[in-house]
Amino acid sequence: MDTTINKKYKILLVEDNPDDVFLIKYAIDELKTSIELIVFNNGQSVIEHLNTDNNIDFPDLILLDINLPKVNGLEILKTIKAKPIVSAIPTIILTSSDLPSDMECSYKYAASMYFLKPNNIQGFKEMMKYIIENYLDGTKIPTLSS
Amino acid sequence: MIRSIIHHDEQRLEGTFKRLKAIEDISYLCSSLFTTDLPTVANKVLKPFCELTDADYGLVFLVKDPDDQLYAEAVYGLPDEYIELRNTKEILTLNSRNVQDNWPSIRAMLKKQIIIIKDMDQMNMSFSKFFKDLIKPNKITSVAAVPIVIKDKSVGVITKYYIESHIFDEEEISFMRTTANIITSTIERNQLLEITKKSERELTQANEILKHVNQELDAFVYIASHDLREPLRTIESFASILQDQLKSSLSVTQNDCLERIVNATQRMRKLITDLTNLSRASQDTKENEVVDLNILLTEVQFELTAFIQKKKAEIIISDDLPKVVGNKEKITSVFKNLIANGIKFNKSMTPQVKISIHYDPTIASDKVCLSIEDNGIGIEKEYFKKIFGLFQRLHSQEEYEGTGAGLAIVKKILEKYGCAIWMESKINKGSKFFFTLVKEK
Repeated sequence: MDTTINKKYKILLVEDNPDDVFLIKYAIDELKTSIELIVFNNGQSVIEHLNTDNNIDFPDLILLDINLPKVNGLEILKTIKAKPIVSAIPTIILTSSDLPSDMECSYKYAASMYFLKPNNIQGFKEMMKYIIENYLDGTKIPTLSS
Repeated sequence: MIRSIIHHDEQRLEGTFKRLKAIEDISYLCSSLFTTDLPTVANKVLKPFCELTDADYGLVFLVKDPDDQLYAEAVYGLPDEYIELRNTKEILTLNSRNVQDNWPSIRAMLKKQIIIIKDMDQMNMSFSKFFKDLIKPNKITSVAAVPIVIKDKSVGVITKYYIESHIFDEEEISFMRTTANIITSTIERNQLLEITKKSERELTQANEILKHVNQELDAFVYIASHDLREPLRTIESFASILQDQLKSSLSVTQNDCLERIVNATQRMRKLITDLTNLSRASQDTKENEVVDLNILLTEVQFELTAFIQKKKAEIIISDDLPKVVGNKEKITSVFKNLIANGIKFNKSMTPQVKISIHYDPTIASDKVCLSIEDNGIGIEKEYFKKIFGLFQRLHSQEEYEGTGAGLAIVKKILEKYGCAIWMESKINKGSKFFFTLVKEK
C-alpha cells in the first residue's frame, strides 16, 4: 500500500521578504501542484515550531533564506541539522547572497542545495519545478511552457 | 742632550697615542648613542675627553631653554656637589658679568671658538669660593674651553682644568676640535634620524588609515550593491508576472513599456554587478598561487567560445607564456576583459587578438610584461588614460553595449599586485594593451 502518491506535501518557507513569499507562492500555484506552503518570517519561530517534540506533522522540505532578522538562515540550518528527526528533512537555501562564504557554509551545515533567487517569474517557476521534482518523491509536473 | 730629545719625542708620541685613543673612544661611544639629548652625550664624552689628555678637572655647561641659562651638567675630577652648588648659587647666562672661573667657558661659547689659557696667574682672574674650596689645596694653572655648536648656535661647552702648567700644542687643539665636532654631528645625525623616523611613522599611520578606509569603502560597496539588487529583482520579477499574464491582451506600446522596464532593470543589475566586481578586485579572497598563463588562456578561450564564434574572431598566442604569481580568478578576469574588448570593439571581417610577451628593459626584474593587440576600431590618444576610469564609455549603448567598468576592474586588479597597465592605439588600425604581472620566483 503506497500512501505517498496521494500525500499532500508540505513545504516550510522561512522568508521575511513578502515579495519573495508572493513570488514563490505564485510559482507553486502556476505549477498546478497541491503543495501546502507554511511561511515563517523569522528564525526564532521556525526553530520553536520544529522543536516541538510531539510534532508529527513535520514538513517534507524546508526552504531557507539566509538574510533574516535576528537569527540568520545559516544558524537556523545548523540548529535543524543538529536535531536528529528534523535533520532528515531536505533543506534548501534560497538566497540572494552570492558570497562564496555563504555557499561554503551552507554545504558545510549539510544544506541539500543552494539557490540564488531568480530574477523573474520564469526563473522562480523553473526553480520550484526542479525542487519539487527532485525532493518531493512522485510529484510530477507538466513541462513548463515559456 | 740626545737622550733628552728622544725622551721628549717619546712623550709626544705617547700624547699622540693617547689622544688618538680618546678620539676612538669618543667616536665609538657616540656612534652607538641614538639620542638627541645633549646632556646624555656630554656626560658620556667628558670622561674620555679629560682622562686621556691628562686634565685634572673637567666641566660641561649646557645652555637650557627657555631663558638661555647655563647649567653645569657634568663634572670630571670634582665632586658631584659642584653641579648643585654651581646651579643654585647664582644664575649664569652668556651675558653674566661676574663669571670668574667660568670666564673661559662663556668666552668660548660666545666666540664659538676654543679658548686656551696657559697661565691663569697672568690673566688677573679669580675662582669662585666654592670652586676653590673643592680643589683645595690645588690651584688651577691652565684651562681649555671647547664650545659645542649645533646648527651654528652654541649650546654648551666642555672645559678642562690643569693644576700644573699645560702646553696645548696644535695636535691637542685639533683633538679638542674633533671631539666637539663628534658631539655636534652625533646630535645632528640623531635629530635627522628622529625626523626620518617620525615621518616614517606618520607615513605608516597614514597608510594604515588609507587601507582601512579603502576596506570600509569596498565593504560598503559590497553591502550597498547587495541591497540595491534586491528591489531590482523584485521589480523585474513582478514585471515578468505582468508580461506573463497579459501577453495576449497587451498592445504593442504597452508591451514595449514593460519590455523597457525589464531591460532597464537588467542593465542596472549589470552595473551593480560590475561595482561589486570592482570592490572585490582589491580584496584578498585567496592565497596567491602560481598560475601557468598557457593553461589559463586555454580556459579563457573556452569561456569566450560562444563570443569568439559569433564574431568569427581569431585568438593568436604568439609566445610560450610564462608562469606568474597571483589569484587565478583575478588574472583570468584581466585576460578575459582585455581579449573580449579586442573582439567587441572590432569591425574587421576577422577580429584578431594577439597575446605576446613584451620585452622591455625598463620593466622591473620581478615582473613580466605582456601585450594584447587587436585589429579593432582603435582609441584616440586623448582617451588613453581616461578609458581606465570607472564607468568610462566612449560609445553609445546602441553602438557597443556595456557598463564601462571592465578596464577599471582590470586596472584595480593589476595595481593590487603592484603591476601596471598602459596602451597605445591608432584609430581604425587597432589597440595594443601592455600590462605587467608578477613573475614566478
